[in-house]
Amino acid sequence: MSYVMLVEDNQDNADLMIRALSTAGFEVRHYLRGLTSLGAVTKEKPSIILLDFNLPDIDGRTLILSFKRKLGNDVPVVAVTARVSEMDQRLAMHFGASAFIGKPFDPRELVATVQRLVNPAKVTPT
Amino acid sequence: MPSLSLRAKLLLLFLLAVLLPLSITGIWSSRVTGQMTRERVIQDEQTRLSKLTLEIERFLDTTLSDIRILSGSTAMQTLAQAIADRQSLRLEQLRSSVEEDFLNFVSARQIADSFVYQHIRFLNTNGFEFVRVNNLNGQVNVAARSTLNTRATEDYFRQTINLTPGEIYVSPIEIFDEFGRILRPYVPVLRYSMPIYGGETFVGVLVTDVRAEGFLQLVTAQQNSDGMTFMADQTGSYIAHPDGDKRFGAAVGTGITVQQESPELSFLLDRQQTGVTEAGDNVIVYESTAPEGASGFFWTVVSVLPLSSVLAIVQQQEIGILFTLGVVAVISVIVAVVFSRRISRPIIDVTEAARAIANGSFDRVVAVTSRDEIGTLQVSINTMAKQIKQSIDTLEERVRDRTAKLDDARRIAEAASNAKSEFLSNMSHELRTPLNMVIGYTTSMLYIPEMYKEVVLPDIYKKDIQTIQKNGEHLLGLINDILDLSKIEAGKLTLSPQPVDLLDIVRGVVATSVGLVKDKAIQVRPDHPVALPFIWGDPLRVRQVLLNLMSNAIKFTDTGYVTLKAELQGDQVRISVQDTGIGINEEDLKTIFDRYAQIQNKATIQGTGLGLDICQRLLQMHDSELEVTSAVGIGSTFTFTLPLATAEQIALASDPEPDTDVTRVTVEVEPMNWESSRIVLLIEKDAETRAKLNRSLEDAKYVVFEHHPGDDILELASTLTLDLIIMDDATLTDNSLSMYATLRSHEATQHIPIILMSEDNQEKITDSRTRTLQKPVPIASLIECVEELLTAKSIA
Repeated sequence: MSYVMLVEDNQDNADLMIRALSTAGFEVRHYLRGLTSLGAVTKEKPSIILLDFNLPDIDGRTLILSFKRKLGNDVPVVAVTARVSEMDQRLAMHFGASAFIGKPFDPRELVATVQRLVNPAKVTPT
Repeated sequence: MPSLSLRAKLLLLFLLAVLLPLSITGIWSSRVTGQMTRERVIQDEQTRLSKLTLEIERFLDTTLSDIRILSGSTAMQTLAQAIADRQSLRLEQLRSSVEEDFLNFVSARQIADSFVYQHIRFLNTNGFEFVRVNNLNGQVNVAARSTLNTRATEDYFRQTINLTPGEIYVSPIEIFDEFGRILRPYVPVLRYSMPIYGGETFVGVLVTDVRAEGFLQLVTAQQNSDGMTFMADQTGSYIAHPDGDKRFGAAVGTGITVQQESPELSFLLDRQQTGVTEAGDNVIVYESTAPEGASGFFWTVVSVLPLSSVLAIVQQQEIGILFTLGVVAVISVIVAVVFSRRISRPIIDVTEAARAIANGSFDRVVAVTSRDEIGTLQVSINTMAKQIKQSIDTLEERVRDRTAKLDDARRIAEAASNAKSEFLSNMSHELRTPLNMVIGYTTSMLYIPEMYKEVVLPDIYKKDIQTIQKNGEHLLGLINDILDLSKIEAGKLTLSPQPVDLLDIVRGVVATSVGLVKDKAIQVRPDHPVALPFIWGDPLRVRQVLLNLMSNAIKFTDTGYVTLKAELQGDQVRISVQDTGIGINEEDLKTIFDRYAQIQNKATIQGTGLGLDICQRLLQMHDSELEVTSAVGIGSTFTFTLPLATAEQIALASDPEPDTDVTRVTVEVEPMNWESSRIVLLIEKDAETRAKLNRSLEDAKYVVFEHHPGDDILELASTLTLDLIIMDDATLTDNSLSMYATLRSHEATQHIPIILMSEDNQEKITDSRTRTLQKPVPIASLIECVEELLTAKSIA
């Protein structure tokens, strides 16, 4: 069972993502704060992390670096953010994000991205 | 002239003023002097010849009176009377007294130690010598009776016997010969003969032989150094000549004559004459003379002066004049040089000073050299420089002042602009989050029914949800536009110009546009040549502009056509989007590209939104301009031009086909090596200091996490995988040390190196993982300290 760690401070957004991902069969654990998620990540061992890059407590790049340091390269991190400029995308990718999803997103795209990253073998390119 | 310097001009003027009249005067005077000299030389020669002939005539006068004296002497008269009276007995005695008389006479007549007379004879009526006194080789004696001879055949005898008493015959000059043999050197002789009467009876002939040398040597003695003076008789024979052998050509058989030697002088033989002429290269001065009573002959004294010698004199004088002129000219030049320097030097100095002042050397001072106009000029230049300097100083001050004010204004404006961009940017981000709900849920409801447990939506709901979704997308478009605009305005949008395959873009845009038409009765028409050239621009932006214009046109057209037209115009392509839509009224046309203005307008007006403004901005970045023509109810046309890519540009471009998807930029970024990254927690209360330190540390490639008041330091430090903590102890005032102690005591944080930035220099803590730096901390020493601690940590 793939477990998705969702770090998102906006509850409504989180609900939408949880609904979409749950419908697609993913188990989602939602964290409102970056620090909490970082504290839990070592124990919980998620298959993928969806990370809001604009959390109020920890900025995205520090958080993504910390995730990497704790989990290594095995767990993909997807940056989900309303800051969609090319610069923001470059920053996220530079600090190690595996994918970038700009808000507002199409739930289908979100699900497709997660599926692709969690189990690359299962997804055939369209 | 304009290229000449002032000094050269002065010099030229001065020399012209002096040398021109000088040389004219010089040449004129040398001409006049030359002429005068020439005339004087000729005149002198004439005078000389006149004197010469006068002397000759005087000599001849003397010899003429001599024969008269001799004929009238007592001895002669007595003898003549005795002969007439036939007193034979007395004759011998009387002859002796005549002989004595003659002897005395010949002995007495001398000129320059030589005797004037060669012979004096008295012939009887038969022509036989009765008395003869000889002067042979300077020996004067009475000829012996035995040597007396007849002279009856001589010309002088035969001429004289026909003369009346008192008349005298004068012979031409002949060379004396002794019994037919010509003596050498020649003894030219002039004979006077006169009949002697005793009462009424002709008794004989008195003959005096005058040695012509007596006067001929006057001619030869006065030879001009350059020329030649000679005397010739009417036959052309030279009587006197510097070359003695040329004389008496006819008599001595050499045949040398004037006409033979100098044919041009033949005219001299025609008659007695006096005058000057030029013959060949010579000036000929001549004067004729003849003894009184000469029987049809005359002599002409001729002076031949070579013109060259006359000219030499003239030349000599000319040289003298020219030399004087030269000296004067040289003096003039020297004076001119000195004066022109004295005049021009200060002017040149002033000019140089003026140039220096013009170049900005306002401290340049011109020495005041005189009290004249130039002095005034020098003083004026100095005053001017001073005033300019003052003005410039004042001006510079003002400029500095204004610049500072402008800088301030610019900073304020920039800050305001940045604040606006920041605000727009933040705003658009803020708007995205709620929009995410709108679009996300409506999309899900419409397209992911499984999220709703297979609930089938009634059509009426579905239609409403579609409207919500569509408007959500529209709102998103507006937000994207705002972002684009704020980026363009902040100068953060840069173009990547390259050769662009316009045909490819047009085809793509037309295809996309057809999809936008949906159920409207619109035909999307491409109108362009089969082949379109490459243009020069940013393909992403060109496509954005075209898509924007096309979607705009489709949006405001219900029926008819939307035409995308491209046509070649010289080295440009003219691209237009034409529709048959509602059109834009004149009033709205004015503000169509005016940012934000449209937002306030009703959504039914074409061009609502920021799309046109973005198009205009993007085209302006391409040095182009979007133009619009429109008529309400008929339609609108938006037009712009883009340049063709040059062959060189195409050749240089390696890949003219970049990703042209506007909507979703896939960014390829090399991820950083997170294992070698260093995260630094920065705890500093003062926001300005914090920002400064943050920037410097980021520049040094550290990832800085800023602590904000209210963050739990221990939680941050224990959760984040920190490499270093920089903390300002003043931030934490009372509890800074306790915080430090907490960090050091906590298991998760005790190993983290800490830099304490302290107000005082006291080492409060001794710990190998801790450094204390006194504030204000120089960036360099902070970085140095950070590196030292991190190196120590990685080794540990």
